[in-house]
Amino acid sequence: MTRKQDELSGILDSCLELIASGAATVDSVIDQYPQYSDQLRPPLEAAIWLQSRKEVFNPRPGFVKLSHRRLVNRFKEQRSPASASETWSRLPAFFQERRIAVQYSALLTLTAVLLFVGYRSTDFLVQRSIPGDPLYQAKITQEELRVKLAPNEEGQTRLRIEYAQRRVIEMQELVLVGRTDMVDDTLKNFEFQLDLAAEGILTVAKTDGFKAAQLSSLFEQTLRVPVNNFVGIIDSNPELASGGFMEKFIALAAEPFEERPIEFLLVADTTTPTATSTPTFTSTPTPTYTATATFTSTATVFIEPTATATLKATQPPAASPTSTSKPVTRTDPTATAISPPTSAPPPTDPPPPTIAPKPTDEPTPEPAPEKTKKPKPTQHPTYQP
Amino acid sequence: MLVFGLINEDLHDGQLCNKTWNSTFIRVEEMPNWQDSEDSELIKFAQEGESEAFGELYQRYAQTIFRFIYANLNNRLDAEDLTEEVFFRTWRSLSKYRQKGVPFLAYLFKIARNVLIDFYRRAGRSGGIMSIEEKQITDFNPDPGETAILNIEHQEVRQTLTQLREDYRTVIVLRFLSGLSPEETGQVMGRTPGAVRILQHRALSALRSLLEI
Repeated sequence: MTRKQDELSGILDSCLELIASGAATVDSVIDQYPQYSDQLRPPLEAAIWLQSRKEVFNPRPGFVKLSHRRLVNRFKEQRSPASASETWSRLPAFFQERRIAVQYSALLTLTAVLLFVGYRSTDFLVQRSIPGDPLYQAKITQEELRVKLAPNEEGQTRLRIEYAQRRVIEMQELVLVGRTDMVDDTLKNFEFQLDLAAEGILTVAKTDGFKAAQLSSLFEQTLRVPVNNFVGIIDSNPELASGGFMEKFIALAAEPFEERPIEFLLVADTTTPTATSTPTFTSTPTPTYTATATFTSTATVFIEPTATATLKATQPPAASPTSTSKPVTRTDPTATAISPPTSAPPPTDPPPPTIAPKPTDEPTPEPAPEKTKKPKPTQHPTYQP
Repeated sequence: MLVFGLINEDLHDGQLCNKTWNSTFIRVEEMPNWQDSEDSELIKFAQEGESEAFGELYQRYAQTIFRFIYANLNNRLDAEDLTEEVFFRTWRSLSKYRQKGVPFLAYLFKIARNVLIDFYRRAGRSGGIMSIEEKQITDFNPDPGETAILNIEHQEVRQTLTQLREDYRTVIVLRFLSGLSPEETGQVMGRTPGAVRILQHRALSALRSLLEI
């Protein structure tokens, strides 16, 4: 069957060539193959029908000649096909072949994506920069701009606190990468941010005590965490400790709590009350990093009147923090964070303000209301949110 | 005209006249006669950036490609544009073409098919292909009456062909409209010449059954 088909198709092809050359007609070629007459006639008639209509598929007269010159000029514009980049050469075609709206939206999307990626990349590099990097000045400028654009005092203060935190992180990174010569400048900026943040908290406290308390808590966190981190870093970088950096940092960090007016302390956070006493950082003859413990005291100035009364009864006013604080070894920084005065409850179980710790050596007197009116300056109980 | 670089002296023997040598270029006042060159030679020169050589290839195959495209479209002007587009795309991608692989004609038809597919997509997005009435308005011809008759006949053939199977339609278009030999049709369709002859036989028989002759 297949062989017969091959033979018949071959005969048909020969007949088609004869007819196309004009040497034969349908009837004449069929006469040559009478045995295939029925099979050859229909395809031959169809072929004749097609041949007779072939001219309707011709291009306009002169089209090839005229378009040839135009096309060659186009070829010349793109002289070397080997050097043309297919990908990039298709890009204009992509836009050209689509609707105007699609073109514009694609272009806008592409532009937006490029701008976004560019901005994010640059912003990432700016934010990652540390003092001494080329982009660091841009980071500082950007920070100041954001502060100026902040809607209110609270927002500005939050930014200042955030920037103080950044400075601490930068100082840590500077120490880690060995650029210790830049630490001083960063420390100055840290001081600058702290000052402005403290002023901001005071301003906010005049109008909204609750927000001021929140800011104060945030402020405290800014100081507490990095000090702990610095202890570890300085442990591994003794040369930095010998330069007095830690003492300077601690003193600076403590400064807002020591020098600010009492109103500043009134807005301190009420969530972590302890019985520790006033902060002192400069009285120790050798740097022992006990400052971390004293930060908690600054933030715990709010004590409810009942608790204050009890504490006052158990802790004589003459007791000073320096005399009661236990010296802590440098190799155990975590312990310093919770070292209380000797008269305070054990560090592992700080008493809540509503529970009066029981004295060990004398009975607790009844709380006197007038004593709650005159607490220690750093243990002001009068904050009313 | 200035031609930079060296010229194959064997190929252009007797065709370069009044050559003026310079330290950096050759001044050629008469270009080689591309019409006498084989396809393979033209392709080689075109791959080196000689646009005139590719122009000669265009003159050889433009009508073949046009008929194939026009057999798949209603609008002659679109078919002309797409024919140019086929050759322009071929020119751009010529650096990738290897003569020992697919024959050049098959390569052209492959690109022509892609151009048609792209055109259909665009037409689908923009609301469809132009109608015959629109074509009569835009088509330039000194004899509008003749154009109308040609268009009607074109429509008639197209409508008949579209009733055929895809491979039947292709073999008929390539063999009887584009005028390819069974060997060339086999190269384009990826079949042997014998298979093309059998397919052609069946396609013509199927076509005859559709005709009212």
